Amino acid sequence: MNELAIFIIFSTLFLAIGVYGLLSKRNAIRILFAIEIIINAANLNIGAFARYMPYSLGSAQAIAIFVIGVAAAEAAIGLAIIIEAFRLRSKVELDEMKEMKG
Amino acid sequence: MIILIATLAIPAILLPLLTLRNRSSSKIAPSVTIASLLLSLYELPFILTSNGAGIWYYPRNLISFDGIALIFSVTIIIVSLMVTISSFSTVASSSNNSLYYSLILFTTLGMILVSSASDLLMLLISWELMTVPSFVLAAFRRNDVKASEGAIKYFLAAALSAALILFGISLAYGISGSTTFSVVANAFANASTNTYPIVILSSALLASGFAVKMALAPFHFWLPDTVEGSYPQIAALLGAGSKKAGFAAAIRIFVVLLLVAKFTSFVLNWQIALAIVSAITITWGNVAALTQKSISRMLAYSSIAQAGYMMIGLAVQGTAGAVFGLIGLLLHVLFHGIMKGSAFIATVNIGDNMDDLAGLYRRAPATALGFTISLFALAGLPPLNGFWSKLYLFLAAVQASMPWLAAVALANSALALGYYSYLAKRMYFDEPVKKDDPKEKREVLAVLLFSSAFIIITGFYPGPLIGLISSLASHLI
Repeated sequence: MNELAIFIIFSTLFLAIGVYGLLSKRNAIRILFAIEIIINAANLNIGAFARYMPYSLGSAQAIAIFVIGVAAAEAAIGLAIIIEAFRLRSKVELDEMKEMKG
Repeated sequence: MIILIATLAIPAILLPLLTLRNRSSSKIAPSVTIASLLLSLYELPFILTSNGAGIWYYPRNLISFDGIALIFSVTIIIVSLMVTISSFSTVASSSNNSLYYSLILFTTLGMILVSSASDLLMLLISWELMTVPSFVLAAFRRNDVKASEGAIKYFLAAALSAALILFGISLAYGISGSTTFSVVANAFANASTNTYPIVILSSALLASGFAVKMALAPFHFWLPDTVEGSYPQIAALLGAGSKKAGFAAAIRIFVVLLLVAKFTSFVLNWQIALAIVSAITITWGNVAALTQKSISRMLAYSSIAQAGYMMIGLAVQGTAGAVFGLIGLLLHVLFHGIMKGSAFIATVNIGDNMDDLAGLYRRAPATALGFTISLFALAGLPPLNGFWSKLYLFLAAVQASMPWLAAVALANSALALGYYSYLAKRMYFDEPVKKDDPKEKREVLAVLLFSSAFIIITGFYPGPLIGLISSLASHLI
């Protein structure tokens, strides 16, 4: 087995961990962490591909930096929304959110 | 394209500065927003003609503004205009109403870029430009428990979709060494048996990422909650506008990428898979809409069902019904954006409870009339425009030898007509439960007047519009 395959298997494992976290956890912060795990697994993928394939390293670095920036912006807004919800109900458990049903 | 981006981005960046001034800026921000949206609507045809349809042009093939991007951009800008105009008095009391309009401009720009991106990284960045401002808009009603709950659910769903799309993009980059659509498509077409699993995983992740935004059946859970919690105008933006951007991205992937890539060479019948998703979405949306007690939730579920109708247009690609499917899909994108937008915006005047509807015709006749026209257009009643787009989609399903899909869609149309008529019956024939007359906001009436005129005119004279769309769509197939 070559080294690239190990990286891909590793990042796919992270994807699986992230999806598991999404499906099984009920705390909004934990779900946010699961999503961040998926994003970073994708970044790991991009880095590994750039290292082991005969393509320009520059474009991979550009993609990775864009992804990090975008993910940070998204997490900042998301945390603000979660803090606002915490201020209103002092809980961020999703299954306690029963204002709406359907 | 640069001019279009500048038209939307510069006011969006400058508007928040208005909050620095202590004086009330309640008139400046909406007028600037409307001017900027109208100007960008005016610029759209020039971008198309100056570059030619379907030509990849911008530096390193980032953006291609073709006929499909034009239809989506027109829809998105019209919906944003309707949202902006109808928000005048709703957010006028808020101290940071200029932020509200700035976020609308940002998310509009994001949706236009999503519908014209021809590079996976560009698609991801514009996807975030579209979703991140809309989280804030969904949570704009501070101190409201429902709004914060809806915003959290929307945020988690959208962040999940972005993460899945990103993982799909990283795999596609690994296979092709590039993020340009055409290069990725070629690499997918020439994939060896060793890389098949990666190709399939990548396409599946991209498809499910888009499906969250499009609110297709297993991923639709966020839409009703978010719509119920936020302002009706923002519900219109999410349910009528930004869902369409998901479809634009899906058209790029499924029509351009997979068809060019001869994806059929895999032993994988993706048309049937999409058709099944479409049938499930239509049925689920309509059945769930039947049992709702709140108007906005019912409209949200009907919006999910309409997304299922649009999926028919994607499912028939690569078969005999491809042309009719694409025409029907583009028509339905334009028509549904306007009729669903006006239905959501009408609830500004009506209220969210079913009891608010009783005897509405006597209490607020103009709103009742506009709401009824949008509802019957959504149901696809013949003289209104919804009929034509659904006709094209159903014919496409039959041509693609999927008559069962057309039958499911037709049966669901009858079901949908049932609950829309129930709403109309409550408005026109029931005794009013509430005695006070709701104040009919003039800006909402203006939006309803425009959308009713559009629905009726394109319903009676669909010919020119269908001709235009089929000439634009023919560049793709």
